[in-house]
Amino acid sequence: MATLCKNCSHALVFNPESQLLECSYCGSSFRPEEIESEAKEFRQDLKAESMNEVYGTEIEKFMDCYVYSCSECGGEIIVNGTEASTTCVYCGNPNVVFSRIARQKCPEYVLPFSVTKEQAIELVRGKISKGFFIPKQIKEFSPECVRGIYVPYWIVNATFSNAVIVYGKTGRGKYAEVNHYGRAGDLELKNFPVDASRALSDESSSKLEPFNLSHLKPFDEDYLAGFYSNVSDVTYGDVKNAVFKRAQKYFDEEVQDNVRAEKTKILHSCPSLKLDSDMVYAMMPVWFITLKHKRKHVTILVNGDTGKVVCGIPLDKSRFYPILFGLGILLTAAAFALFYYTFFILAIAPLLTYFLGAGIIVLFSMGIRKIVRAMRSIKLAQDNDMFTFMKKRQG
Amino acid sequence: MIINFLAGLLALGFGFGLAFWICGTQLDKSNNIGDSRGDGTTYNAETTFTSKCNRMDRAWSREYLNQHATGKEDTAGPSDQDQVRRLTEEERRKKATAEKKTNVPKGAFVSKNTSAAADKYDVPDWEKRTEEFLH
Repeated sequence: MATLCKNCSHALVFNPESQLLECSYCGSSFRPEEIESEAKEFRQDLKAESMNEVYGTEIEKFMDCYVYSCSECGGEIIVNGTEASTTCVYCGNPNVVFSRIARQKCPEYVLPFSVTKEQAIELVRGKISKGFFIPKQIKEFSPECVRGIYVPYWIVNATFSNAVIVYGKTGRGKYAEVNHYGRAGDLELKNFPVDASRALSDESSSKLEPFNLSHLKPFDEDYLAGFYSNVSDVTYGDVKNAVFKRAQKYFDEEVQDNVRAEKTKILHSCPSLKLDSDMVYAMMPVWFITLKHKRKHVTILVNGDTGKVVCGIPLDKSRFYPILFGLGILLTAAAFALFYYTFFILAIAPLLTYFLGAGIIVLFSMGIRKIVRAMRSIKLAQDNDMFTFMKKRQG
Repeated sequence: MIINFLAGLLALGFGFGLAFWICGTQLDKSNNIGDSRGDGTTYNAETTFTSKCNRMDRAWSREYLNQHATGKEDTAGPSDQDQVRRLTEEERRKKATAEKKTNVPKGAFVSKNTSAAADKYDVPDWEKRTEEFLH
């Protein structure tokens, strides 16, 4: 289950910095493509046994648990139904579940980690140290758990076709006209990555984009050594839904750019999607970093290739709300003084009052939209499913 | 009194509106890190419009959808409930043959609109107006 050093038979671990498999015992290093594991074929035939079968039980919470034995120490390794690589809880050595990545299920490509664990933590520190509304405890965080996980992705090409009716306004004043516009066409998406793990939400995984696909390497299980990984467990329906949502967004943006009218709105559409059959199965690197804040877990994601940090950090309420209301009262007082002494201008120019009213509504809605957006990200980072996806691993 | 009330109302809206905007922008910038996704250019999302109609009336807009919805559904592929996997060579061949039968020609400005009314609406606006003016 583990790739062993040719010189001392100790388990090798992939180092993102050198892009080599390294032996911590004798210091040897090897390129993953160089390693020819004679035992690979034999190991592919080793199947993980169901935990309930091994122990002769019928416990529901063990339904998705499988048992392997560590090639280094013989200790029991427990993996869930979709895990492809893990570490031994007793000796800490990396282990790959070969039967999960064999033949038909084997990924075609892997994007090796190029950001190390230390670099990932530094990147996160760099991002959150500048945040004005980030609590001091979080700025000085020590990560509770850091895990490098290869997340499965399907890279797809697709054709999205749609016919839409757009409502739009042209002209101003007495020349204003409301019209309907028709647009029909196809949108081709190329190399679009879709997260193939049900446990990880699409909203979180899509924020990790873009991945640099030119760095993809032909799959070799040795890249998984030292990291955790999952295999694909999504259906065609899941992939279609993810591609459909994004393609429709791009198509709608293109249509609205194409229609020469203001305040455009799509009234009706007849969309359809066709996925190309040449879908590519690849493993993408992601660092999952968790920290605890006020009894809640916050999960921060770092793209293991580009180093992009994705997270919604809880806000410092003791700073945010006083500033919001203090600033509001201060600006209200200043605006009152201004409006009180210049009210005669507003009285003789009612149009100015309308513009002011419209401006106030726009400011409010833009501000609230930004707060809601940030709050949604914060909620997502505290999502239990994402924490369980990362945490529920042996090691 | 009315002036006081109106100035107060406007000032309250303006003051808190601006405060919400400033704090919202700052919160989004400081706490919402990496909230972006790949855009259309990242995935070479090229749109080819096969039909464009401007200034349609309500009746024609309903007809437009019926005529231009191509419905390129993937009927030859595996079912939506199947787990995604790499297709075997035989499955790929079967799918390609089925697709050939159902595919309509694609390309720039290939219009499927064949109705008599289509001519009336597919010509650019300036041409249509000139025609109306001349006749």
